Amino acid sequence: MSWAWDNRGFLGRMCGEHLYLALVPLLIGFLLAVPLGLFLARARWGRPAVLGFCVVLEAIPVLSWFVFLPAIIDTTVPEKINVLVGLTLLVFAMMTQSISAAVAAVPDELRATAEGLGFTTLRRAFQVDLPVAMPVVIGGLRTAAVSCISLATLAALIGVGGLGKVITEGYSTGSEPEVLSAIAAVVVLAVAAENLLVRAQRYFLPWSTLAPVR
Amino acid sequence: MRHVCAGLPGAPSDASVVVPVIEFEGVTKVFPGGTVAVEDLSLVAPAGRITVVIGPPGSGKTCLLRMVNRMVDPSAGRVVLDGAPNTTARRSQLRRGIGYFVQGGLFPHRTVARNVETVPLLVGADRATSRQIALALLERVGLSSVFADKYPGQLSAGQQARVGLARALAADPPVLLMDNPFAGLDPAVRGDLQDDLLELQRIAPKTIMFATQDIDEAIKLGDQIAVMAEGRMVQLATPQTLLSHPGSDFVADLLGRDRGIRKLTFLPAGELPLSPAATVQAGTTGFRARAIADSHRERWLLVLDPERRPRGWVDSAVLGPDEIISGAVVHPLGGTFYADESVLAALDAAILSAAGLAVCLGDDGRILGVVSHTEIARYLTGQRPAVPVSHPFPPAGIAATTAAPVAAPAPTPAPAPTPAPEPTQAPASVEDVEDAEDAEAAEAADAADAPPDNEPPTAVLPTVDPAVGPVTPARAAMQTAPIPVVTETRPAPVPKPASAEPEPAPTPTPAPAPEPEPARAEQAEPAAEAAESASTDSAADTTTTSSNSFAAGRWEWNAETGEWIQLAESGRSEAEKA
Repeated sequence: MSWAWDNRGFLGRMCGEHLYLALVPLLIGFLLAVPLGLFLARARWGRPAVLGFCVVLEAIPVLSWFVFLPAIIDTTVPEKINVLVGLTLLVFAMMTQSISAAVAAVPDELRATAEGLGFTTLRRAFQVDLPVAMPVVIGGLRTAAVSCISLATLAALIGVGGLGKVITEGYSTGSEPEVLSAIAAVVVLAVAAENLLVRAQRYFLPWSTLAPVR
Repeated sequence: MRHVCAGLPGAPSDASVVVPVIEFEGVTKVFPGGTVAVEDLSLVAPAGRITVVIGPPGSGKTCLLRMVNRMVDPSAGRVVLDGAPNTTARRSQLRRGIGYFVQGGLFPHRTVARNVETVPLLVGADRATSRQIALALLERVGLSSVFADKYPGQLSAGQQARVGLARALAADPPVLLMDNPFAGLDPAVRGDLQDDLLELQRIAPKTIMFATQDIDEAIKLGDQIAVMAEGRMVQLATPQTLLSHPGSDFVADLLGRDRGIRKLTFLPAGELPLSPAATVQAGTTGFRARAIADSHRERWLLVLDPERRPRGWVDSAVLGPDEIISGAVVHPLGGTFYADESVLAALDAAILSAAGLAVCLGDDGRILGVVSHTEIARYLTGQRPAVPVSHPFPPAGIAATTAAPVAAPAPTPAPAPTPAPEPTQAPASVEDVEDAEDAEAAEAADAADAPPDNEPPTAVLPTVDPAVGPVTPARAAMQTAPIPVVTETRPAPVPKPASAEPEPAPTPTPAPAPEPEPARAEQAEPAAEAAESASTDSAADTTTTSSNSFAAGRWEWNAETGEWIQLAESGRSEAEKA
């Protein structure tokens, strides 16, 4: 503990960098997944194919993105952009599945009512489908957030900062407290992010904890 | 865009909005895959009326409704709204002018008020106006503004259904599609909502298509009922016709075994002949009860609590002289009914009652009289030569339930226990009064102001069922008298119990015969005796008050003068006041 206190400035800076590496992909991946997820929930065709592709995307080791992306998108290896793109792809794959499943689970009566009351397709998607599916979507987002924060440690393997760098550094110098402190910091960040999303749901979607409308 | 929100700013629509006729012209829907949902169906849903579509699940009800707002496009045929095919406007535009209500369709993520504001906001009303409309509508469907900012999940199922109704009405659409809206609600809540719907319909009629699987709901709400099976319409009829003439075994099965009984819901209980109730206060001794029973020649006495509300029945024959009337000796009341309920309610109450007597209550809870199931049966016998309902729709403003009995005012013998001729049962026309030999009845009619001369002769007594009873002189006279036969029946206003002035003529009561009946004279005497004993002994409650004057205020038998006296609003007779 004394190590963490003595190096609190460094640790704090690394935490910030780590959150940047994890949360920016979370946000971008989510925003990209919304339209595709909404579309897939309604699509008459192509849904199994796209969702199957998402599973493959999710299964590809994130580390391989960090390594191979430079070749694909013409960046040099130690750049943060590789980490951001790699994690974004992961979040995109996860959230596309999550959103399309959640929207497809919106009760038929609700969709029929929205249609019957005169919502246009686009309006219905964003004013009824997505909001009603939001509690389930946030569930998916919580999983994605924890994954991102945990996986962002791999950035250290291509020499990019964050708490992963602290772990590898501690390992190479044999500083056990340094390794343990960094691991603890990752766990704390992940739990905090997850908790924040739960609170956000309670605050922004107060209806989501109520009894379902019959 | 004729249909869209003509009366949007929350004002009552009545004048401005054209309520259209919906016509289905040979519509067919075949879904991809070959499922035939609706097959060559033609149907007219008249303007301002409720057309109920009933059928088993999968019979195409929902599909039919959705063709109106183009959620389903027919594979063949078309839907016409007031002469114009519904394909002229954009779908979303068309739908915003058609109220739509599906069970479970409330948006859980929007507050109650926001749910109701949905369509006004869609058609471009501003926030404040929409909110105002929403609050007014919530009020109209019986939800206070307390609920406005709650979420649907915080409401009971019945309240949610009310919100759904308010939302469907929010843009004041002239057409309303209701797809099984009250399914799964408990019967009491469901009944309330049906009543509310009928009330809303009365205030501002809309063309309503209502899909349901519940035959009771269909009969209660429908101006006409379309029965569907496997995509075809197997019968289109008014509820009355459907019950009496089901077109096929399928329809008869759908109606169930008790369709005959259900027909009674269309007969108003107000026409039943009431007898005075022999009453006794709870806590009276058996000895006194026996005396009251003897004076009434009744075995069963109606037990009243100190607030004079009916509590049950006591069998005077088995009472010991010292027994106190309370607790176990009091048999269950069975039930009570109000004059504006149906004969079915009265019959139900009579069957449930230990004494076989149903207690009729006034709006203020006062006991108007009792009727036995024997009397109800006799009344029904008189109803039997029923004229089939010729036109599916009674004139606007007349509740469908009043139409049938008016159409068939067959004579019934005056019920034996009736103590005296009652003003409402006075002859239906001047002619009848003249023919009548009973001076007392003529007097009563005079007292109640003989019908004005310009009153058209009421269509009475088109037929006489030989099974009804002995042909009395009076009836024989009526049969021979040149009674104008009016084929088109005149709609009678719904009788109002509280109506101030007695108006004997237009009441379509089916017991007009004012002939002297020996039984009646006998009955009147004990009643008078009982009333006298009541005036001398106030502790023993031997009220003989009876009233059957649903059309002409309340009447009370005055034992001293031997006359019927009209009561003032306070419930006291004028004689008492003087």
